[in-house]
Amino acid sequence: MVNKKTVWGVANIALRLLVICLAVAALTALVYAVTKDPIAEGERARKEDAIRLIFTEADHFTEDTSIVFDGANAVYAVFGANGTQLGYCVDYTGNSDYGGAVNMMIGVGVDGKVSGLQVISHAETFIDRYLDDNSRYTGIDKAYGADLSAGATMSYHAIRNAIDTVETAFSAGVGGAK
Amino acid sequence: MKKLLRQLKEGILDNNPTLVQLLGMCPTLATTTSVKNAVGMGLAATAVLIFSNLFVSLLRKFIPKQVRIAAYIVIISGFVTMVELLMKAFLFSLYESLGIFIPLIVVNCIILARAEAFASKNKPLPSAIDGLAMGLGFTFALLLVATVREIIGNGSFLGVSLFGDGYAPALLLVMPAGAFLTLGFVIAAVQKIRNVKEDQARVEKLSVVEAKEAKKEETV
Repeated sequence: MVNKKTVWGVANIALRLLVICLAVAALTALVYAVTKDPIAEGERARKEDAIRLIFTEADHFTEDTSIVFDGANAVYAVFGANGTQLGYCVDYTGNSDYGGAVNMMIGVGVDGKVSGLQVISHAETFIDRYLDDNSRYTGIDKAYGADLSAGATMSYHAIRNAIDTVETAFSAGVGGAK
Repeated sequence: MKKLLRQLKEGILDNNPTLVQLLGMCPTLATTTSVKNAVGMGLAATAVLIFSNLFVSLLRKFIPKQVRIAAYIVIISGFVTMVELLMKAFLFSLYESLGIFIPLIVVNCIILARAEAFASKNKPLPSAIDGLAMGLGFTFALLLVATVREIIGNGSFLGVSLFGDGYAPALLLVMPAGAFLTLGFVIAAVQKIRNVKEDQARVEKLSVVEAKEAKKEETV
């Protein structure tokens, strides 16, 4: 038979741990409330900057909700000053299996080919070696290669897989290729 | 005031968590490729150390000893999440360059060690000061290693080129192997400086003993 004292002892420990968890959660929630808007604003600004870095002649862009495929958070149709469509920008989240999600903005020309890639956010350690000072991926035309440094290969593959997925989606008649 | 200064000296020099206690080696090796990253990581860990020590100390009589490690981890991971959110909101480029190592502050053994060894046994103010001292000590160690690695391995300091285009940087130092080598030499140098007084005392003692023995031999 279970001793009442033992049960109360275990319940007491569990309750105290619960109180500690709740206190920490409340503090975290407070910090989240303070940082939520600056984080969202920063993300929005970085995405807009990425689109303008990929299509330097871009004048305006609108979200195209008709194009949907796995990994694509949003697809933007990008237009020049005279209203001609320059291409699309895909807000894409890939996974590297190392640092987790890699958020990218991938530019696709009207021919359906990837024309530029900006890394917006990541938690990779080695990804910078593939990017220039503007977080721009510089190896779009290069073939696959393996980097023997730990993690680097995974970061690299996250980018290459994203390019493949987007090119496949657009070559299948979606968006610019149609 | 004296106690405060002694605690600070203890954390930064005499009992430095990285260079003397050899704790927190993983972030030391991984984030010291540049001075900017080292300072960022050091200050982030310092903030977590101060607040987790303070929180653990405030709750030291409330935390059941059977689950104290779990409670410390909850507290530490909460503060790491807060630091991560604040960095993401206000210091995004640093947040990106530190990458996976920010969440890994949770498992930094310096923080857990100070919670267990100091904060759980002391009042809130000394515990917060201990967190500050140990955090500054950790930052100081990261700064030493990163300065050597960035200057020799990249030819720059805080991203500013020091030797011009003609300089061929010793890339080994910014690679993982260079991190181990630099850390080893920095620890050796710091230990040497720390031991100078002890060494002098030992030499003096030896010379006194030798002089006594020589005198004995002369009388014999």
